[in-house]
Amino acid sequence: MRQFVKLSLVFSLLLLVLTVLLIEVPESYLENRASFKLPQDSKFIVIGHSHSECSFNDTLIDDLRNLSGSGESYFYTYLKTKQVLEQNPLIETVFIEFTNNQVSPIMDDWTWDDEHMNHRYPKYSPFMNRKEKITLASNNFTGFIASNFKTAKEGVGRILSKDYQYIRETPLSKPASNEHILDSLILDAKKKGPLKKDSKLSEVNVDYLRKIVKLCKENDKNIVLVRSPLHSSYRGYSNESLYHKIRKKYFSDINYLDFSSVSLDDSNFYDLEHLNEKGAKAFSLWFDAFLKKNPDLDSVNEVYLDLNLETN
Amino acid sequence: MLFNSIDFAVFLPIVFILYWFVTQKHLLVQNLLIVFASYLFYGWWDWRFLLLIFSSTVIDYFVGRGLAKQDIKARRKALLWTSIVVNLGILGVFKYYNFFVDSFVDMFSLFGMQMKASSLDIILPVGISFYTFQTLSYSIDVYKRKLEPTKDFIAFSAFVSFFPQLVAGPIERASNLLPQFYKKREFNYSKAIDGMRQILWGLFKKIVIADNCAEYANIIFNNSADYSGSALVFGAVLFAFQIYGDFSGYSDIAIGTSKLFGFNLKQNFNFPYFSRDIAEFWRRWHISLSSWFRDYLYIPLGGSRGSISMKVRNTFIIFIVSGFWHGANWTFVVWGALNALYFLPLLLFNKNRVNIDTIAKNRLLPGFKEFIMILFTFGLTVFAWIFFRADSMEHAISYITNIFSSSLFSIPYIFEPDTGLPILPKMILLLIALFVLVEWLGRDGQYGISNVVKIRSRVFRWSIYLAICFMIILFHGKQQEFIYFQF
Repeated sequence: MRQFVKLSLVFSLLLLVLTVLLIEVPESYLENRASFKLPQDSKFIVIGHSHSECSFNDTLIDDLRNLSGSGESYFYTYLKTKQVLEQNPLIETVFIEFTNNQVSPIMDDWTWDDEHMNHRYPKYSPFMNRKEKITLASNNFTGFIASNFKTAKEGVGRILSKDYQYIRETPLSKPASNEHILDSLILDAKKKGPLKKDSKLSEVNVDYLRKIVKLCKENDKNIVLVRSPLHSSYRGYSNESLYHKIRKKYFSDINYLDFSSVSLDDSNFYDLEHLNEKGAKAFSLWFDAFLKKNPDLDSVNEVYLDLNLETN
Repeated sequence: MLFNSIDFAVFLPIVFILYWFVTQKHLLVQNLLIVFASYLFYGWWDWRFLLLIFSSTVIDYFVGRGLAKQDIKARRKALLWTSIVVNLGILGVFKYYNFFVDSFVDMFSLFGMQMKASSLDIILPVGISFYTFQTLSYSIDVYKRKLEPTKDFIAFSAFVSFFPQLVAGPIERASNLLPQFYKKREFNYSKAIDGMRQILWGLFKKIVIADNCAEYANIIFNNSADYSGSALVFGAVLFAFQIYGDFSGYSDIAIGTSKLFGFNLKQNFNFPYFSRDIAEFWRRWHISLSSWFRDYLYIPLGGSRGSISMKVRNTFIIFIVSGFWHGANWTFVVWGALNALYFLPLLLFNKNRVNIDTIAKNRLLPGFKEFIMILFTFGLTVFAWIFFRADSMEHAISYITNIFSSSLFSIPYIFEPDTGLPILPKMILLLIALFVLVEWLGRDGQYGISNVVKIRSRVFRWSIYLAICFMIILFHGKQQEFIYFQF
C-alpha cells in the first residue's frame, strides 16, 4: 500500500508539473506574439457583448471597428481592450456598450460559469494576472481546471498553426428576423405582465467596467457609453433604476448615448435585444453620418429617445 | 457524477483513503462506506431517485429472505413474481410508459380511431436498466437455488448500488459480486496498478475517441439531408467509434475503479470490432448484458435447441428484447431485429461458434480472409448502428436512402452546413488510427494497454502513461454525457 501511495503521488506530481508547463509555456509564448492589431485607419472601436456586436456593422461605418464579442462580460472585455489599446495607439474613441444586463448578476455567470469560462479563458489567459486567475478559480474551481486543459489544447494548436491573430475579421450579423420567433417572444413578454423591479447587481462586472474606463482615461482616449437599440417589449428594463443609479454613481463624467428607444419597427429586430442585418444596416448608416457630423464627439452626451431611422 | 469530471477526480481519492486507511479494520463499516459513497455518487446527479434504488434493494432483499424460508413452490413463485413485477414495473413506468401510450395512440389512429392520451413528463433515472437487471438476477438465482440468499442487508445494498458500475454496468451477477462483500478485502499492489492503468485507458477512449467522434457524428446525423452518401457512411463509422469508445471506456473505468477497492468485475468488452462474424461480435460486445439475456431469457425459452422455427423465434425474441432494453423507441427494436437477421444464418448453419479464439493469435497481422471477415462484420455493425443513433425511424430511413445515392462514391463532403468549415481535423483520424493499432496489439489482454505491464523499464512504462495523459489534455473532445446513461 505504501509503495502504491508513494508511486501514485510521485506520478501525480510529475504529471502536475508537466501539465503546468504545458499550460504555462504556450501562454507565455503567445503573450509575446499575440496580435490585436487593427487596420491603420481605426479611429473608433466598439466593445461590449452581442447587443453592440449586432448593432454596429463596421463595414458601413468609416474608421470604426466593432470588437464586441457575443456573451462577453467586462472581465474579458477589459483584457482585450488592454491589448488593443497597447497595440493600436492611434485609436481615438472607445464606444463601450453599457446596457441593462451588464449590471445584472447574470454577468457573474458570463464571467465564470463552465460554459463561458471554457470559451473565453483559453483565449485570454495569456493576458491575465495572478489576481484575475484567482478570481475565476475561487468562483468556479472545477470549471477553472477544465478551462486550463482547454487552454493547453488551444495554445498548442495556435502555436502549431502559427495563428497569433486575436481579433475576429468579420462582425456577427444576425439573419433577417424570423417573424414567428419575434412574435412569440413579444407575446411571451406580454403574458408575463408588467416588469418587476430588479435591483440585483453584478459587482464584478461593474468593477471591470470601471477598470476599462480607467484604462481608457490613462491612455487618453475619448470614452462613450452606448446602449444599443432594444425592442420595447424587452424584459431587461426591469433593473432600469439600478442601471441609471450605477451610471450616475460611477460614470456621470462619461459621455452616454442611449439608442435603446429609437423608433425601429419589428422587421429590424432578430429578437427583443438584438438587431438583425436590416436593423444593423439602418442603424450603422445613421451612426456613420452621426460620426461625420460630430468628428470630435464633443457634444454627444445625449439620450436619443425620438430618433427615427430610415429603414428602407 | 461523471467519471470524466473534476468532481470524480476529487471524490475517488477521498473514498479510496477512507476505504483503506480509516475503515479497513471493520468489514461492516467498509461496506457502509461503499453504500454511502455510492448513494452520494448517484445523488450527485439527482438525489430524488435514490429512493428507487433503495426500494429495489429492500424489495429484493426481503424477497431473497422470503425465498430462503419458503419451500412451497407456488409461494416461491409468488415471491419471485413480486420481485419481477415491482422491478420491471418501475422500469416500465419510468422508461416505457410514454412509448406504449404513444404507440397505442398511433396504432388506433391507423384504424381511423382518434384517441387522446396524455404523456407523462417523466425524467428517466440514470442507469435504471442496469441496476434493475442486476437485482433481478439476484432474485432469479435465489429462486433457482443457484445462490444462497444473503442475510447481510448492508452487503446487499453495496452490491446493488456499488458506484463504479451503478449507472452503466457491467451488469454484475450476484454470484460473482455479492460474495466479495462478505470477505475482508486485502490491498493488492499489482491489482491496484492494473486498475489505474485500465482507468487511464478508459478515460482515453471516452475523452479522446468518443467525445471527438461524437462532435462530428452529431453534426452529420443532425444534418443528414445536407451530406453526400459517402459523408453519411463516414458519419456512421464515426458513431461506431463513438459508441465503442464511450461505452467500453466507461466499463474500463468501472472495472479499473473496482480493482482499486479490491473487487473483480467481469470483462464487458473484448475488442468487438475485430470480430470475424456477428456471433463473435455478440460474444465480445456488452458481454454482461448478452450473457444476462442468454441465461435468463434465451436458455429458459429453449435456446438453440428444438425445431428451426423455435430457434428463429428465440433468436428474434432475445435480440428484439435486447434492443428494447436500450430505449423506448422503434429504432432500437429494429436495431435488435437487424442483428437477429445477421445472426440467424450462422445459427441455422451451425456456424455461430466457429470463431472463438483470439483473432490472429500469435501473429502480428490477420490473414487476408480474416481481414475481409473483420471488415464485413464491422460494415454490418455500422449499418445497424444507424438505427441505434437515429432519432426516429423516418430519420434512419432517410439517412440510409441518402447513403445509397450517386454521391456514395464521391469524396466525403464533410463541411459544417451553416459555416462551410471543415468538420474533421486530420488529427482525429490519426488518433482513431492510433487507437485501433493499440487495441489490435493488445487484443489478447483484458483491455488495450494491459500488456504495458510486461514492459520492464519503469521509465518506459511511465512515458506511455504520461503520453496518454497528455493526449487526453491536448486532444480532448467537447465533454459529452456517456451514451449508456440513458439506458
